[in-house]
Amino acid sequence: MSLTVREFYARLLGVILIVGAGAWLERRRIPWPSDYDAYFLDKAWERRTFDGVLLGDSRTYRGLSPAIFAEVDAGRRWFNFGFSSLEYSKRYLDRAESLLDSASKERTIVVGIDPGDFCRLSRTQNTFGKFDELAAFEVIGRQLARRVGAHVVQAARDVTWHTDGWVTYRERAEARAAGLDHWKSQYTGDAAEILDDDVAALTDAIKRWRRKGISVYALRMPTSNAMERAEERIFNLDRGWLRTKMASAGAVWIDLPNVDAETSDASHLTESGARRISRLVAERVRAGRP
Amino acid sequence: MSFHSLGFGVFVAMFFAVWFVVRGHSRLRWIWLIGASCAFYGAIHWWFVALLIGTVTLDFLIAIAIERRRHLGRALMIASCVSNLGVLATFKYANFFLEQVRFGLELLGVVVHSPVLNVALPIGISFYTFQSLSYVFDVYAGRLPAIRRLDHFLAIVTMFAHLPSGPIVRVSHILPQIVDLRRPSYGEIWIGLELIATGFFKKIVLADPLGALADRVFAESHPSGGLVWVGCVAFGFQIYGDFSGYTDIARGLARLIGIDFGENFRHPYTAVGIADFWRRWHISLSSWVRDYLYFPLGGSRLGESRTMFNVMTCFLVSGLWHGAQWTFIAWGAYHGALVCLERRLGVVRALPRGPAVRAAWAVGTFLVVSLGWIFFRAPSIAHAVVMFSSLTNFSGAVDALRAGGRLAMAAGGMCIALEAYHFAVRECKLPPIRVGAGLATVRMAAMVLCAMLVPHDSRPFVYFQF
Repeated sequence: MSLTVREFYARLLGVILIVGAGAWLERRRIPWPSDYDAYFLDKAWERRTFDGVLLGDSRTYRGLSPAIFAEVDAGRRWFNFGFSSLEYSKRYLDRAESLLDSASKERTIVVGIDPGDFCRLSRTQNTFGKFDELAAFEVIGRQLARRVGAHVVQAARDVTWHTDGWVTYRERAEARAAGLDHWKSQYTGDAAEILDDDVAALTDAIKRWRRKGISVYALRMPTSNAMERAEERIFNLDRGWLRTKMASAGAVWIDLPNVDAETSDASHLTESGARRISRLVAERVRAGRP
Repeated sequence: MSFHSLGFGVFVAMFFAVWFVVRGHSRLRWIWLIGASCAFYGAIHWWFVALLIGTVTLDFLIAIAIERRRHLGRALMIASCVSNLGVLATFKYANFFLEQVRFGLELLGVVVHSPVLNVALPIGISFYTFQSLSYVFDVYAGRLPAIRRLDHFLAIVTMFAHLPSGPIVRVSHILPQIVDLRRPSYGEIWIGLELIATGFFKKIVLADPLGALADRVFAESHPSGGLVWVGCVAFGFQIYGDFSGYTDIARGLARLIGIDFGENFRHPYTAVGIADFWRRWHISLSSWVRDYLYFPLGGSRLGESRTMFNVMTCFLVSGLWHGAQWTFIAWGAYHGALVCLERRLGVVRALPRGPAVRAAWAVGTFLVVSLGWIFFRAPSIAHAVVMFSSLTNFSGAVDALRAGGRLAMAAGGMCIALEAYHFAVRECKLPPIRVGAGLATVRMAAMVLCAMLVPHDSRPFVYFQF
């Protein structure tokens, strides 16, 4: 096949114009990396270091504000390293530890536990792993696509992505019942099985951190009463079990008040609820320091 | 890093940005190609690169030694076989063989716990070991002089375009193009771009929707016969679109570099007979097996029963090459038996020349090949047997098609139409449709747009696991 320079560029220009026009007209159907993808990609590849790190799943990244921790404990840098459907894998726990500044005088880790994190479902979904295991080229590609996509697709308006890892959602009244139903629909059969290996991974990490002189606090992330009851039934969970496990590993357990009225979708705290709980936890952490 | 990921797009853009600058420099261009290919491959696991470079360099040295010391040629060739097949056996087959030993001992009443080798399978290992091995065989047989420049040999074997899933490009085919690398003409660049667009179209628009349908069928523990037929055909077109799509992308990228890999698929579902299918399907593997296994075993020169034995051996090896599972071996045996049967009965050779009979035979071949995919895709032999046993019951086919969705049905319909068109062009001597410049531009743009807009969940290429 022989083409002149002019023919080649005419064809290429034709393709670019047709594809460009078609893509612009159908821009909402193009699967650009979402704000969610880009945000958690950045989080998984975070390179800054901090005095304290908050670990957990979506209840943590929506429920604990590092800014309030920093406000209560002036001068200290905090970061929320929470990921949806989290598995406490060794890789995640090691990455969390690496975010602590080795020069910090009081390195602290706060683990906001959702019992669902220890289930088979979380291991299957493993959101952190999906972002963390991407090749560097893929990270660059997604970030570039996001930058381009940001100009053609509308960003989600009901979410605020804070640079310290905290995420706040605009509250919707109808979300509560739907949230509980959605949650229950996920945990069926094997998916709801609590994996002892994952519990052990976290308790082993806590012991290791304590040996290194890192202060560790653990709490069950507060949620609605209906959700707590559902969790205890589905996971066959004893209320004292988590506290005993974490405390025996060396973590300081933090009990929190009832927050039933402050959850937006039956599972996650509202923004105001998150602010109140963040302040409470931060004060306990500050009080626990020598 | 898959070809249809954003990361690969970034990699390719970076590669060609530098390539167009360095391609005029006889050494620098190969250093860049090898370095970029290693970065691409090492993005998965860095030790994959070490293994690749190690085995390839060893074959490079062995080939030179064979040429210099002809009297030691046989021993050196065997050394290359041991190293290549040893690496392949360790990473790909060790657990399978250990499991068979354990099972065998268990049958004898000896209970042992076989150790499990817990390492990742290096992507493309089956492809590059076969490629490297064929080079040593060619040098040993005197068909090819040993390459004296390591950068040339590394550039051939490690080239990112074919590294993950082939095609198994022969060194003898690619070496002259590497030694005398030409700047691709605008026509060749256009062909390259068209091949890439076609590859993405085949993968995203045709293969993936059909893959979703096939997954649903093969996940059923007791599917109805209708469901099995739909699943077989869907998987048949999925794997064809997936693998030939990948090959098209690889060939297109190579064209942009200035290298022609050659064909790997020649409309296999238009084949008239099983032997004909194998002359059209995964040509680089089937011709490799023919040249380096079937012919050395004696081919068809040593009598009928020996020919049958050779055919069966080749198909069993070909099946095992795909993976360390009994299902792949059964798939190889299925095709081997069919080729032997076809040869024994001599039916294809006796077929009348009329297109109607040949078309009927081609449809029959397609259905028989589709049934063979049960072994290839089923998670176990037991599951494959369950699927085969339900074939006579045709219920559930319509429901399965409906559940597959309009996209899968459209993809299947398009695959059938395309293969029918190519059959008609070949068998009925119809003139192929000539596409002018305007239509070629629109066709390429349409393929790119479809690939961008079709809703899909990203599936890995099927042949990446081999």
